[in-house]
Amino acid sequence: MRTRDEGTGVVDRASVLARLGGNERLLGELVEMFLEDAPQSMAAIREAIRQENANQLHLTAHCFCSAIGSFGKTPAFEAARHLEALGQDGDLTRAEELFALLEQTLRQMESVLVQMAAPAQTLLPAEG
Amino acid sequence: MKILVADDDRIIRRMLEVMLSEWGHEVVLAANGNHAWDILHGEAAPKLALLDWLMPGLNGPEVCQRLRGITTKVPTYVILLTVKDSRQDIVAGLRGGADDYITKPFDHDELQARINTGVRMVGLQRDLANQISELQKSLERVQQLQGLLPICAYCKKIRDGHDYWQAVETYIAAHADVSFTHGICPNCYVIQVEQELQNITTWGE
Repeated sequence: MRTRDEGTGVVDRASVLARLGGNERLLGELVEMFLEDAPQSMAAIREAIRQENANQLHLTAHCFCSAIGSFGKTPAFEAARHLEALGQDGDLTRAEELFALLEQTLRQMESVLVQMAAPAQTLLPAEG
Repeated sequence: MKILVADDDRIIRRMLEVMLSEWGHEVVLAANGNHAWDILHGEAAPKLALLDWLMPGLNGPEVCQRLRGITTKVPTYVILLTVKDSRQDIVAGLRGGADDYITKPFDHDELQARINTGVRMVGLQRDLANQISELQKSLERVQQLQGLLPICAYCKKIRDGHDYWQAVETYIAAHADVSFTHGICPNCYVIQVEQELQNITTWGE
């Protein structure tokens, strides 16, 4: 398992688990929630940028930043944070560019999360 | 201890709910600032709250300011949770009335240590409030024994605030944290008891 927490889009499983007190089941649950919620969060951010609504961008990017932060200070976290700051400052000139960066880093992060949660998923109760 | 977790992100809520429960706390959840405020000033409100800075409705600092505006025996211990980590943000959060500040993503051990500090502070405040309450009750009793007491010149009964004459020991027992045991002082023994004994002896003869 790769162990870089920052700079490459790769999440460090060991440090995320340490942050959760070693609770593998919780890790699996949070990854599942994150993967489920991320498309909606991205859509909300995209819509705020399209409408040039700085306040909405601030709120939506902040909330998503908080969710991404559950898995460490990844590049996706930093990209969301920059978008949040743009919204707060009311300057959306770089919003499209940063959104593209967020999309790219998020894709990388999500693929790592899927692999990362695989051992934990086996601990979750089977549905049905 | 009952702890409120207020955050608009369900991942953070779930994470904190599980972690705090594992540490033995009862967790109450709110997804926005208005709901958090409703819980915090309602009956049996949690005395420790983890508030996200930016939430729909009232934000964390606004909930905090409202809390500081109400009078309560044990003030709520507030920890602000946020991704804002600049020195200005931390100072602003603490100046707004928060007791502590944790930046996301937070460390498991650090969070537990800070929660424990909050629990200890709430416990100390609760003990202090109880002691103040006891002291106030004692002071009220002392004040009741101060000033002029109307006393009967003959039987020495004392008149209370309701025009009712009471024996000295009854009055004092009711107004101070004392009770009486009865005995006979040497002087009264000579004047009263010896005299009585002498009367009985004389009567018997």
